[in-house]
Amino acid sequence: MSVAAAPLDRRAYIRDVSARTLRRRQIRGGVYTTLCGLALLIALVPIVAIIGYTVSQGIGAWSVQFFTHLPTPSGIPGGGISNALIGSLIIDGLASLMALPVGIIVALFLSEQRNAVAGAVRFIVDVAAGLPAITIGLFAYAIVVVPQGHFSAFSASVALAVLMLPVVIRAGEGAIRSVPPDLWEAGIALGVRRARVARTVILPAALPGLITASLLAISRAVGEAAPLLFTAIGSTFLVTNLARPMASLPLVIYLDGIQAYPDLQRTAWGTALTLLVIVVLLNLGARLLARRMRRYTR
Amino acid sequence: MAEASRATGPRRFALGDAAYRRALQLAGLLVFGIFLAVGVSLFLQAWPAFQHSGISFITGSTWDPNSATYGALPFIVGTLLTSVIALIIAVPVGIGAAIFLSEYAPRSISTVLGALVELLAAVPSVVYGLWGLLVLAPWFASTIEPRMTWLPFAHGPTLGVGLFLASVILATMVLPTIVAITRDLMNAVQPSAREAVLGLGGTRWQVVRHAIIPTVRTGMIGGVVLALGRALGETMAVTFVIGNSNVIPHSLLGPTQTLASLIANEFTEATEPFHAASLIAAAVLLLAIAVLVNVAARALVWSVSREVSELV
Amino acid sequence: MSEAPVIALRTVEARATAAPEPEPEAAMSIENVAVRFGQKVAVSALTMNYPKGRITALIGPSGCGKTTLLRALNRMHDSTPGAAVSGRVMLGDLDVYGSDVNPTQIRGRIGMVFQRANPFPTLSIYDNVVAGLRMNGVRKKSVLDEAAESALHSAALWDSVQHKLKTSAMRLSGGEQQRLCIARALAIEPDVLLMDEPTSALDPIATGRIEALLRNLTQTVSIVIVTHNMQQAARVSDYCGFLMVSDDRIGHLVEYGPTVQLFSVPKDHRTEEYVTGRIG
Repeated sequence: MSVAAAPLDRRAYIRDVSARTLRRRQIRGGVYTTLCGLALLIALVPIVAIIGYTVSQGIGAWSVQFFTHLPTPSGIPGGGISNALIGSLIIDGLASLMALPVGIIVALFLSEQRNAVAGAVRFIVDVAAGLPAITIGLFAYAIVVVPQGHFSAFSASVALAVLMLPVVIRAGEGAIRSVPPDLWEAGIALGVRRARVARTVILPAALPGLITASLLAISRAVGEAAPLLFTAIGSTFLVTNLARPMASLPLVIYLDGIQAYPDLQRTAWGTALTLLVIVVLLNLGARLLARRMRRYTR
Repeated sequence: MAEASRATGPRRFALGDAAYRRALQLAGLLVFGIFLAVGVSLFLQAWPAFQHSGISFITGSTWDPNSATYGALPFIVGTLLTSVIALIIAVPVGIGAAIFLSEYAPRSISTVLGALVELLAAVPSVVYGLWGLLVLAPWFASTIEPRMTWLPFAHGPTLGVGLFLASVILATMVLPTIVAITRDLMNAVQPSAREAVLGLGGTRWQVVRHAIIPTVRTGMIGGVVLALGRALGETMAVTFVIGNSNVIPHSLLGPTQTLASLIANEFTEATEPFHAASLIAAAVLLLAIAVLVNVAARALVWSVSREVSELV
Repeated sequence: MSEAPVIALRTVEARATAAPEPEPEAAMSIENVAVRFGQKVAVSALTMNYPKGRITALIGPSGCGKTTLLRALNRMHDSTPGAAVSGRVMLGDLDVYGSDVNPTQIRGRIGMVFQRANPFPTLSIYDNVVAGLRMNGVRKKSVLDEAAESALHSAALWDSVQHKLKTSAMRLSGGEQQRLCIARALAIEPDVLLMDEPTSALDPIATGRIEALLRNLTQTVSIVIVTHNMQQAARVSDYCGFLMVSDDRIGHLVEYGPTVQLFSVPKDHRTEEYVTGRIG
């Protein structure tokens, strides 16, 4: 039986096939690689286009007046978005005040406890992260606007706070978890109460990560218009009363952008550029802090 | 002095800790309650509408507040169509880009370009919508859509706004999700898998095909499903460009409406009986779909990789 | 600790029954090979032969560059950015790093088995074994079947898996998975099989099984095995290369020769110190 011969034939056969198909395999690989590179280029077009257009169209609307004056009806020059700037500040600021502390405490909760309650909370937080923003707006409408009988900035802050919670909780939990567990044990071994260890040791150690989490949450809230549609609904006046409808940047983009008047559209672009700058700064800040935090806790 | 504090220490110590734990739990339950309340309160508000329309809410294709007829089928179709078409565009592009970034681009370029694509995710949806309406729509109307009329289901006036444009904008919005998740999954593949292919005489592409893709397949599908979830719930960008027509779309180029854009467009003017409740019912529908899709996505990605599922 | 070298020596002596043979022709040889990662030189001035149809072991304390050398043989460093290999690596009379040689092709002739078993997790046992063949363009079912059976026989796995070839490879135990990887590497019929500490992650019984099949493999392939386990080198290898890091923090080849000689009458005092357990 030619057992020794059979493998040799096979070896020669395999070498032959491999050599013959090498060219074809490499060309095929090259084609796929090129397609993937093309896909990358296609994927880059939108971001370049959006930033490009927003900058080029929006910069024309920017002026000192733009940031300091109240809006004027279409056709009358000299209008601005000062009320929207202040409105966004108030609404988002209040939302942050409501969401960030609670979110961080829940993040602490999830990072510490591992029981069924924690599991249920984590599950619903994960699910809530995917809730459409408009449904959260309707929720705020149902529980604040309807009972109060009027639209208000406060209801908008409630909606945004609900929107921010999952972001803070999830990113915050990550930040707290990355604090080395030895810090916990050191504190407790000294006889210090858990609450104090958390407050004085853990949270400060996780601070960069928590700030990152907060910045991400704020950046998300700043840009949302859907939750504001039925809560703050916008305004042409400078409003600081939380119980009244209030202007805000994303609303201006929507309400002015869908109008047929070029000067209103230009205002929308200018506002879009403003919003873009704010969001990019917040995001960059969050990223840089995240990188610094990773280096620190490693 | 030390004795005194030690004597009272343990008891105070224990109480303090228990109270601390209780406080944390309360915060957790509060948040749990809030999110539960979202679903429950909306459902309660929508209940009259469900009672009024019955099953025809989901099956009826006529939405006419004047006659108190509320059939949401056109919007369900619109929502699903825009999202699915968006995925058809975004998934190949996203996965291809992720493969290139993870396997072929040098590390430095890969990080920068990857960050650039992910920057797309930070852009607010109103800005997408504005850009879509004022930049893409005219261009589509004049240049792209007239060239598409040879396709089946692409007939009618080329308005620019409509199903196709909305799908394209949605594709742009979910692209960063797909790229980020896929790329991270691929980067996490152990070198041993790649080396196995190389050691057998595989080309670089064969490494991708035999070592990388099979390993990340499940997680990738999870990422796609997550992208689907995001597309389904997207409101503002779609509202700008969807065309606001409450009929079932029969053309790619025609105007239509999604559940989310319907609510955005009609809610502030909803005065007829059951109109507001029906819109909230549409929101409940949207909520249910979004939650289901999200849970499915999470299960898929979580089963593969813990670190990546933190992204999700 | 001091028993180990004695056991090694006894093993070697037990095997050294025949008269020492003249060294067979080299399946592979290296001349003045150095491997650099960026600015750091990892190993340098390596010159040795890998005789055909024999098992050559690379031994030495950890970090001495054994694996680095091994991976230079089949151009695995090509995919490491910043890595550079200088010197001559010959497969027979073919320059492995020649400008007309495609690394993909050379790896079809020099196979590799890794420290941790890495079967393709989504593939069945059969698909794993023939994966290399398929990747190289072999499609004919008869060839694939024959090659798979032959390779599984060589890896001492055929009897236990022949009835479950279509089941997932991940169902196998650690030792079986490693033998599967050996079968997979053998299926493409390489001339040389490189093994990077193939049993270091396995229990002694699994290790024993693999060591037992190595001798039979030499009928068709020449083997180069990196091992940090001196007894293993003594048990399985015919020739041995002893590497060590010198004061310049670069790995060098201290001594190379028949295993029997290296373990009983080493030429270099450092070799003697290593095999008698005084260093490493």
